[in-house]
Amino acid sequence: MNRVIAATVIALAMLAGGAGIALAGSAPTRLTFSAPAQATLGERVTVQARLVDAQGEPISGATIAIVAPLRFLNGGGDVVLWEGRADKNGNAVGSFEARVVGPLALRAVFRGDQLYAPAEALAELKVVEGATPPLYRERVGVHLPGLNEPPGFGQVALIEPQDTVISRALALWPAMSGWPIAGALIVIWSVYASVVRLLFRIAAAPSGAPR
Amino acid sequence: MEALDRGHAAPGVTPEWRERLERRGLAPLTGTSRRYWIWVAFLLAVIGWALYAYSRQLDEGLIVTGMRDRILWGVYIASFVFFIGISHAGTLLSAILRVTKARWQLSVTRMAEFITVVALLVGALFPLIDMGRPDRLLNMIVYGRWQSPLLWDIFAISTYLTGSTLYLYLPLIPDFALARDRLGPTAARWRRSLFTIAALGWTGTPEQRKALDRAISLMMIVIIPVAVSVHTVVSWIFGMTLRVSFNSTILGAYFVAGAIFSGIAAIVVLMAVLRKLLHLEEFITKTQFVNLGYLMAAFTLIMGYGNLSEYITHGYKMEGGFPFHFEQLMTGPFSILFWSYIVGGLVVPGLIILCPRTRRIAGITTAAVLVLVTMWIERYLIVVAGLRVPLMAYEPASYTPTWVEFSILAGAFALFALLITLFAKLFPVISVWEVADHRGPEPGSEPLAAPERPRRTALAEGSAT
Repeated sequence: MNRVIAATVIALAMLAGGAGIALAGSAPTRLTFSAPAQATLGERVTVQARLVDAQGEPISGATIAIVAPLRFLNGGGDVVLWEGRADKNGNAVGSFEARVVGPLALRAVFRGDQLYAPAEALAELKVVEGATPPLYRERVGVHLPGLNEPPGFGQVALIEPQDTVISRALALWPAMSGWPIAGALIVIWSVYASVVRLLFRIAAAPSGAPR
Repeated sequence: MEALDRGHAAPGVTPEWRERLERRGLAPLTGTSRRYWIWVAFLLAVIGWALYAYSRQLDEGLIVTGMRDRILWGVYIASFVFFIGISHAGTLLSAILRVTKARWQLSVTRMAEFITVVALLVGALFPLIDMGRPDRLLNMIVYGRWQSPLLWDIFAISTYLTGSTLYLYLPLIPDFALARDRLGPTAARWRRSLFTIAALGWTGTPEQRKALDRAISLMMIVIIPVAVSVHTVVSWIFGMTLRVSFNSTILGAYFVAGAIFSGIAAIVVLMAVLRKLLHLEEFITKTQFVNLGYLMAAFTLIMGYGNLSEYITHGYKMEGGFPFHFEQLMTGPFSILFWSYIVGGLVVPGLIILCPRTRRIAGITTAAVLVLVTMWIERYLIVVAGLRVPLMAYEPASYTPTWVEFSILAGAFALFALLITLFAKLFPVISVWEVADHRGPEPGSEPLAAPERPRRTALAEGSAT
């Protein structure tokens, strides 16, 4: 009997503990983020983020990531450019190499933990082409407009971070690139559809003795 | 109901001849011998072994194959190209011959179209088998690049498979109706239901004939460019890769020619086997063999010309890695395979067909077998010897297929044979209505006294409805 009571007490204590954590929730946080307005392609860019709590007290040891939404050909998503921990003053200073030309929507991200709520901050960086050519170019071979010139021709294009069913479905469509293939497929499958329609006509024809 | 419009008979068609044609065409659908089941069991056993081998590959990864980082395609991709090649047998050949209104081929178009669908089904498995992570197949579509020949290949093969299936099905409709009407109540219920549904209520009325003719015409026109595009795209998987031996502008045309070449050989072999097993000697005569043999002989010349043009052009310049490539092909590690292909696949079959003494059914079938075997070798050489040419200053890699690859290859051939075996039991292997309506009996062809085994059949009773 004593064992049952003891087990019940322990279980209740555990539940209460869990509830306590849940009730306490995560403390709100604030993230500030600064980056240079402009950088040259290939240059090492240094950015700084600072994470504080609601009272403005620095949060040390938190993991801060610098991410940017990038697109390469038909794929895209958030790319982590740098990741590190905040020091005792809540500061995280990171650097990365500017590898794409154009405006770069940088985000400092604190993903949150058991104690602190997640936070994000934005900064805009414009990368301009300098003496160093782009590190990667897609343009090789013969260029046929709309066939092998993907969006953001000659550079990695930027996209807004969207992840909806519609945006995914639209990503399957070739947009401009690949239109000759899409066109040929449409023609051929239309003929197939016509043949299937004729099959329905055969099935729907009045049956009877052949004339 | 009558499936065939007997008012549309070809010249020379007598009721007795038509009766024999219908009986022979439908006979395989009505009875199954013990040998058939033993054959099916053997094929299933081989497929089972291949599945075990594939399970080892899935479990341990591609390390159980002979493929490594430098020669990263092997037996699987060679077989993929081979099977896609022989798939050209049916649809392309049958469509071209239909367009040109050749009548002699009508008794073999069905077999050819079987080969197309079955070879495509089997061939399309190989890229999947070649993938270390087949669960990522969908990524090819979701993250596929429209600029990539790999994605073109997916579109081309799926489009061709759909078209070939339609093209196989259309001329089957009147034959399904014939089977529905003639098999009678003794046929299994599922089989009667299958024929009834698949016949689409066909009674051969003018409206139905018009719709069917139009559908076949549409398909035979559209399927030719689709078929050509499929093997061209397969060649571009190689041709658009920066590899010495793949740098060729004629690769697309060469692949298409090779596909038709091996496709014709596949038809001849299947024709010989089914003719013998199903006692179709009266309807598949020497004419079909000789005509297809002539086509095959023409393609030995076309292939030889392609090879000569390729090797002379590159051999004259000997640029980049070509000295190495030529050495490995002609005197090096691949020389036995290479000369087997040149002599056994081009010279000997050509001579067999062109020599009147050997231009017989047995000779042409032997030539076709040689062509099939050596065309697989040729595909192997394109893939493996091509990838063996070093891109940088390192020692040439080596590739030896493992038991896993050979087992899976055996399983693929067994699957091919099994599907053909099952098809021959489910569908008439001769396009009965087309032969009766458009070709008729061949001059000089006599009915053979083939042994009539007792069968569970109602054919002898005539029309059931």
